[in-house]
Amino acid sequence: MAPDIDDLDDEIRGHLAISIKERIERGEDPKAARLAALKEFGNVTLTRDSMQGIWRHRWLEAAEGLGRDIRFAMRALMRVKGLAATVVVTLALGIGANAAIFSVVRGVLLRPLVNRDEDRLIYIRQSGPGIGAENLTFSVPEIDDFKSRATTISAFGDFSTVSFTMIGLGTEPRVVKAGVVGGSFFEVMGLRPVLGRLINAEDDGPKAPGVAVLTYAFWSAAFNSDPAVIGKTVRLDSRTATVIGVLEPSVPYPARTEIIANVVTSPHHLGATMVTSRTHRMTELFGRLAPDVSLEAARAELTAMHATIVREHPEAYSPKARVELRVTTLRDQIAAPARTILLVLLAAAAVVFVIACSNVANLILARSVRREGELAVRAALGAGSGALRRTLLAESLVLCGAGAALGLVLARPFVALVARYAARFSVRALEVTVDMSVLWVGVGLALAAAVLLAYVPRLPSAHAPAGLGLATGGVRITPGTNRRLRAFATTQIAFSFLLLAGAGMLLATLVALQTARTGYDMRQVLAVNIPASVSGLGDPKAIAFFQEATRRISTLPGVEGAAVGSFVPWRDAGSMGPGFQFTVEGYSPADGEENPRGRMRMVAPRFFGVLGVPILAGRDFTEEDRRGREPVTIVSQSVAQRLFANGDAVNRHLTWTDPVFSIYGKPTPTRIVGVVADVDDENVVPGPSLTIYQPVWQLGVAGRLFIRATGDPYALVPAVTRVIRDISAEQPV
Amino acid sequence: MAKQPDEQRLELLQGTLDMLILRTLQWGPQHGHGIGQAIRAQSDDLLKVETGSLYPALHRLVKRGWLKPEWGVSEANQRAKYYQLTTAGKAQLLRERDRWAQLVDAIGRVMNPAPASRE
Repeated sequence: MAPDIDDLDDEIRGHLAISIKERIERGEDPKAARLAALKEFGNVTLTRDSMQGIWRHRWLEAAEGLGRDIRFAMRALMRVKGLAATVVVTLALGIGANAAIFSVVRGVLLRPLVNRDEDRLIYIRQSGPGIGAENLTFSVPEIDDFKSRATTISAFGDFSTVSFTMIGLGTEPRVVKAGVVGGSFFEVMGLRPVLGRLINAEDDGPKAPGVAVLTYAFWSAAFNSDPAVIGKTVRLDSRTATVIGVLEPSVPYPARTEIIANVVTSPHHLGATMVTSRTHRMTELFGRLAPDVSLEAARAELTAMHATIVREHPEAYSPKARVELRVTTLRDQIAAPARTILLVLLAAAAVVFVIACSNVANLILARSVRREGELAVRAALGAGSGALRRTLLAESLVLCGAGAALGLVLARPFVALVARYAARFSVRALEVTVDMSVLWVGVGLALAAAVLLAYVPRLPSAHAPAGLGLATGGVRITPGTNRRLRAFATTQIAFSFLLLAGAGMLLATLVALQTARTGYDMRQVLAVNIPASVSGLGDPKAIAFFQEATRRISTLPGVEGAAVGSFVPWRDAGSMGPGFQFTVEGYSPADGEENPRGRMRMVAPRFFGVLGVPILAGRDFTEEDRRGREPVTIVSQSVAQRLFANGDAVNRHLTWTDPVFSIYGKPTPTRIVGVVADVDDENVVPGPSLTIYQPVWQLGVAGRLFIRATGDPYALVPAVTRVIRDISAEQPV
Repeated sequence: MAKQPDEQRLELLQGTLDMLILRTLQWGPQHGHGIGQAIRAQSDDLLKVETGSLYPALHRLVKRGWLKPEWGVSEANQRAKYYQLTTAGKAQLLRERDRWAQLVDAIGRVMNPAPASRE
């Protein structure tokens, strides 16, 4: 419909030609006629442009106007660089923080899991609040009970975590964290393979061949996503397994593992303890709701069933532990711990945004006070209030656009930071990435801010002529402006107080954490994982290995001391369960109360020295406390104070009574040779902890080497690795 | 009054150009130059339409559907775009003429208040 530019040119050319011809016919000189015609026509280009302009769409016109306004705004803002920079940076912080936190919230709380029909997938947890056991997990007999009785659950999936030393696939011997699952696990979880197949019902039971599935993260990180790993055979400790598939990327729950294998790969899972002991709990339980069964119905049935099981087997559930069952959807289970903290963060970010906006609004307002004269002149020259607003809108769009751009740049590190923080509460935070949603949030916030800011300054109104301001050229604050300034200042102060109060509380917590006496002096201590691979428990060869390693590493330059232990403070927190029951001579529990539970830690001589734990009474372990000698032990201060009169524990005897140990035969009393300071290595805010240390050289279970360095501990890593490889080539580090 | 002949011309009243164009085209299709000349001639050289206003106005009227453009050849054997009234354009002309008449009448009353009543 609209004529193109050639058409318009033709039309104008035709006009001129006719005009010239007429003039010539009237007897004018051709040259003069041509000039006159052109003169009469006027500005050809301008005419053509306005002809073209007729055909343009209205919104295009508006966009062009806005473009013009934006160019004008940029020029205007270049004149007030300081103000513009302040505004942009302030907005960037507000927008960046919001965008980052929103993307984490989205990733953790809102995005669905990859698991098929995730709303039917439930997670079942047994806990013992009475003994502070958040997650007791389940034993095989318990799971069998559920399987045989439940009607609301169509299938159960079980998962337990173990460590394997994996040899094969062209890598050095390495320790892999592995999940051991039954045949129904993947079906219940609703996960698919990206390659090969997953473990299914045929792989279940003790007779099936060993198979393993690689997790996606492990496959891509350790094997560069090489499809050739399928079908290869690996050695897992003493058994072998064939790699049959790669799992799709999914939330690593209940544990972040590298491979997932069937039960036949783990001799422990086939052993009598695992299969028959009701108290040997190490398995996580998942279920899929039967068709048309609600979560509430399943919860009711499972809880009632659990109560029955507890009644049937009183010996396995101590009254003190108050064992209970919790049934949630997997998604809630994963996201719930992070929900509160994320929502608080989101609120804080929103407050920051409001503060940033009112801050910026104040600046803009201050500037517009100085501009009232300019605006009044433009209004007097015929600019409508719409046009003036558009100018202001253009200006705030430029500011907010720049703020959003900078904010999105900032959002990336913010997201990483927040995700790392949120990962403590929910594994899902680990898969949060910066995506388009951040962009939309940023753009949305910027637009909101821009519109808000454009409506902040007063326009010169007909009722209050700006004559005075114009005449004097000075700054005039009209009552209206003044009120707005006050309103923004009030908002800002109110929200700042809110934020300050929150931050203050956070800081108080932080200070408490900082000053918490953790008991350990972990600075400059390197912890090395040395899993017992070649050796079983208490193998004399393993003991010899650790002794040799300790001796050699102690002589390395830069090493102040080295010692073996079984537990890295905090890093391994929670992995050892609620502790084991024990008793000491001269102490009898009150009626109905069971024996105290203590954390068992295996340590070697000089462990306390290396970690900086003071010995309060008695002595440290020595090289003489080895197998075949008198069994000895060291207890923590709480044990001594709580269980012995006057805290006098040295030379008294202690016996482990926990049923778990019954498989090793009748427990023998051990003599307490020392008392060390309390170390709560599971909680940062320490509570009195009953900890019992056993000499490694007598039990042989260790796996961690602690090295105190004089300089940078990480600088020692290559030397330490070399020493260990020298002693045993098959030893993973 | 020592005015130049050129300055004796009248400024077009705002909003009347469209009406004048439509009126001119009542005699038949015409090209832009012809329309300008016709308005000038009809007004005894008192009204002069600037090309800078005329052509945008023509295109505006085309866009509204009151005129139909068509390329043709002028009497001087020159290619030119001819504009023709559409049915809607004719209706529009009638409306504008009525409005104009009302306006002239109203202004006339204001300028020469009720001579009849005094007599």
